[in-house]
Amino acid sequence: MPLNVLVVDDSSVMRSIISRTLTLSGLPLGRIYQAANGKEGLRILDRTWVDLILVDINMPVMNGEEMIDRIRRKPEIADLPIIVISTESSETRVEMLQKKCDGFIHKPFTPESLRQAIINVIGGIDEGDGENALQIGDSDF
Amino acid sequence: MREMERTLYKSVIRIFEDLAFMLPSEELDDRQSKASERAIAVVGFHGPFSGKLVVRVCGDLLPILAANMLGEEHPPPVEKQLDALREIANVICGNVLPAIAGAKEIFYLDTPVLIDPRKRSNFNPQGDPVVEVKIGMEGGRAEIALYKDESDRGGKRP
Repeated sequence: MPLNVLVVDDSSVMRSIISRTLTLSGLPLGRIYQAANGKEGLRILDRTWVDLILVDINMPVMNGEEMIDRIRRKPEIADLPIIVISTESSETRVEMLQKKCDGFIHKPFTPESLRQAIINVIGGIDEGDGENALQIGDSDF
Repeated sequence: MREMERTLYKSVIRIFEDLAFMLPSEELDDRQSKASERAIAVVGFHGPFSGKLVVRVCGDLLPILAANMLGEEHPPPVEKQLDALREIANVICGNVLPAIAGAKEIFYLDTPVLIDPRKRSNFNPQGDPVVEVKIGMEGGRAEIALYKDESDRGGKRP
């Protein structure tokens, strides 16, 4: 099954980098949705099903931690796999964040590390089943 | 070279390599050394110590850097270039502080802001930087400096 992914980061450049890296990762991709903060991300989740969320932590309006907390409180999406992508390097802080999410990727990252983190969270992926094409949705926030 | 300077060099070089596929060098050629300042990004931080991390890009580095980060053949619009600079500054700051202060220390970063090099009076870091490095890359030079607020030694976020 191709993966539909929601990318949440306040930097449009970082959203582009993550989307491009996803494409380079060789994973079977469906649609890639983009949001500039947690609030926009939740709005997308209200009307769209995704298989995976990649979320930054330090964002204006609604940060990544609050977004994760709200997702975990909504029964219909509480089990969605969430990977935090952050510049956070403090071991203490990373340990705290890892308790809230399913995976953690440190910026800067490589296509290989992103791919491995996603496989660790999603499990086995049939690479022959995907469109493996980048499709951007909701990118013009 | 001091240990802190070495730590900053290593972090910065890896970030430019991984995030922008650049080939940074500690050695500057004549053109890189003389390149004029084009843009400045500043990230304030708070934690065991507070201060600012400043990234200055000089010469024609920024358009090349942004195009590389975005995987585009041609330089993106200036707005995207400046967003790329903000993101580079953010990633450098997030990586460098625990590397310098200790892996378990927690820092909170402000949103990166841009300073117009023509209006440098708007930016007055206190004193000399604690550590500063200059990196040569295609098109120009990047300068990364860490300033510590002497007045705020607490661990609280304002």
